[in-house]
Amino acid sequence: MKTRLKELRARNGLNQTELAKRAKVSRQTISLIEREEFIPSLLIAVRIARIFNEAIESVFLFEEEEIE
Amino acid sequence: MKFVIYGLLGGIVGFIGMYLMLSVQVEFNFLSIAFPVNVILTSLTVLLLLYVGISIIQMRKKANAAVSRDEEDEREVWLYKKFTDTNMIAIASVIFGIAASAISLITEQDPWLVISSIIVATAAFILSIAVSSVVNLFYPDRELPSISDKDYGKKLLAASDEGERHVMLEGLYRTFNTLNATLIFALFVLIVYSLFSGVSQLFAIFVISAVIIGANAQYFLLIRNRT
Repeated sequence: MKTRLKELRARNGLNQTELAKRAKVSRQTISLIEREEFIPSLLIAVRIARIFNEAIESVFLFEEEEIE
Repeated sequence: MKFVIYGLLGGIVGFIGMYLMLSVQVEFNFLSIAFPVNVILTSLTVLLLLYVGISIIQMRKKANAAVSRDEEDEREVWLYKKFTDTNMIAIASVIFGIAASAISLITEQDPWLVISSIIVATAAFILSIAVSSVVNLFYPDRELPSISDKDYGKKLLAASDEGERHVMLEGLYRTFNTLNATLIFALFVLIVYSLFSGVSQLFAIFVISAVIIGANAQYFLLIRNRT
């Protein structure tokens, strides 16, 4: 899974700590997701997508073979 | 399965290593070096305690200092790394302190050394608790359990989010495997030592065996019942 989290954070002027507070998770979780070392649960993915006013699939990008 | 293979390999290496070592010097008397080892361990514990104490002060300062938005993430990373490093050193100091106390009591060292070792071990234990409680300073808005709480481990896991649990799981599972292999290796070392030195290590072998069986039974029963 790829993610646009870093790009969206920069666009919205948020640091990891601020995003973590808004998404009600730890900064470590945000960092793990950004480094693509952890796939978040649906609930956290929805929260993050909402913060950026984006659809989930435009924040978290899956390769076709990952979904099949 | 992997840990059993590693354990057996470790055992073979340990067997050869101990065989070579004991064939050179079978009659090793620990009593002759007990005093310097005791002093070194106690001094080392004191040094580690100083590091832990200074780290606690540094973390408190850093956690309370005002930082700009750009520096906020940097501070969080610094605090997290410092906290884990300090915890590791605190645990090492407790173990060194216990080892020093054990040596001084078992080998009947001078009273001043026995008392110093026990005081240092107690201080290490108290400071290790103090380190764990520092984390509440970093996250005042989070309801993290106190180290004195009943079921601290369970409560900490419950208070952690999924990313933190992911990191803990990865670390703990690796550690569990390493510990299994290392304890099996230790068993082989003790068996070989007993055979070649003539000093029975059977009690330690029983204790380690019970720990391995107990820990594995706990793990496998836990995952078995989560069908």
